[in-house]
Amino acid sequence: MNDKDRPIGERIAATAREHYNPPLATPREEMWAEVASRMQANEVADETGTAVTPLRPATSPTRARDLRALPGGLGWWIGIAAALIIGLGLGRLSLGGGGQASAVAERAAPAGTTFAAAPDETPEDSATIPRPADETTLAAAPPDRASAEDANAATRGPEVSADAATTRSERPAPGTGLPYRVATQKHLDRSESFLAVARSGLVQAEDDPEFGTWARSLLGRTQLLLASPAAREPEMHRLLQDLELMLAQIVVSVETGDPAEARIAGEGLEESDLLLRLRSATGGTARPTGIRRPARSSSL
Amino acid sequence: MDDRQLVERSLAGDRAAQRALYDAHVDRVYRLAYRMAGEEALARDLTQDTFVRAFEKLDGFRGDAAFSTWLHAVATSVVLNGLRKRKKIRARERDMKAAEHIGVTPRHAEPDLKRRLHEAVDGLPEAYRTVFVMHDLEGYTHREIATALDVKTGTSKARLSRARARLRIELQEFAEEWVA
Repeated sequence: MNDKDRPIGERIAATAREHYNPPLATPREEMWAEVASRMQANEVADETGTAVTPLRPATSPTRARDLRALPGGLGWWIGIAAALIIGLGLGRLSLGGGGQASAVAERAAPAGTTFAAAPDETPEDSATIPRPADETTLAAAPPDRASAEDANAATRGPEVSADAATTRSERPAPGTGLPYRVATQKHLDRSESFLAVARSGLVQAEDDPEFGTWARSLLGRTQLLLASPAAREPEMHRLLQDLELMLAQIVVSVETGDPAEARIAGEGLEESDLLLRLRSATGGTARPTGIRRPARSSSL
Repeated sequence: MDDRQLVERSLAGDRAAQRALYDAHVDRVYRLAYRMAGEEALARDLTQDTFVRAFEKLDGFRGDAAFSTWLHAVATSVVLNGLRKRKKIRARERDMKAAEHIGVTPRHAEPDLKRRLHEAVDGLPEAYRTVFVMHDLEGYTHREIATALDVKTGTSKARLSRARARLRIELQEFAEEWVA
């Protein structure tokens, strides 16, 4: 803030203090009555055990005790046999192309398939989402970029890209299924490419009318992911939130064509460590695919 | 009795200690909720949720920071999540209302400073608005904001600076009025 702007900034703050949602007197007693009654209800529920109704207990101690109590150590033999069967099954899967089979099955599922909730997801989280393999075609990204990315994805094969994206995510968000993780990874890849281009100043709104469309498309997708279980892990949630903020700034700067907005967005990108975090989240594998490089102009 | 002792007694189930903690902090939590929500009923709900959540999770308060800092982190999280949910519901309601009024010419209100200021602050991205409201309107320090939002102090400062810059741009047409 320079000296010329300072008094105006202070006056804005002072006016806002006076007129922006000025709080009324605190309804202390009414609120306490509600807080106390809710806490009492919670305590009663805890005591009677009605508050927590686990859908599926993590372990079943009675069942384990029952098995161990079988005569002649039969329970142990059953356990060993079960472990052997599971081991054999896993071995067959790893040798016999089980991954391919699952990839084929995933490809065969129609777009917009409702994915079942993962074990630790609530039924509400079982949402209808676009299949990750179809993400590139469904994206509202500019046609030339989207098609270029599609072409690359097609060359690599969907299972390869999906696997790569999964392995890149070293710490998958708890409670998020594979489709969400793959979709998030792809999205972060694209966003990193976009922000890298925006920062380097290779593309500017006036030079490339699709720049704004690209930003809006990424913004919309970020907001969708924020509202999905993909954003359940706090770290991923923060990353997506910061990305949303940055993209919103870029969209505003493109839409208004205001150099001041563009400057604020550019400064924000420079000051934040967003690109670095995106790179670390994607493993630094983002490819600036399908990006036209017009003549150099001033950056955001 | 200080906050730390009150927390210990609250954990032991002392309702009077809980009430004392509530009394000590409710005004500031309610003010923040009201500033952010702009509605009495919603601010009340958010404040109540904050205290219920805080008392439920009180055993997670390790005493590394002041109780008020910890409580305001809970409050900020409750308020922002509550507003996000409300925003989604509102968006749906707005879509339906917009459909009802297709073809109806809206009455045009005279633009004035207060209304524009309100719109400008409401129009800030959530992260900017939160910092602007907390710092410039409610007097939180950058350190308190950083802890509440789980960001660095520098991030809080940067967001405030951008929020102010955006407001100056949005309210440029009133600059002369202000200077005068």
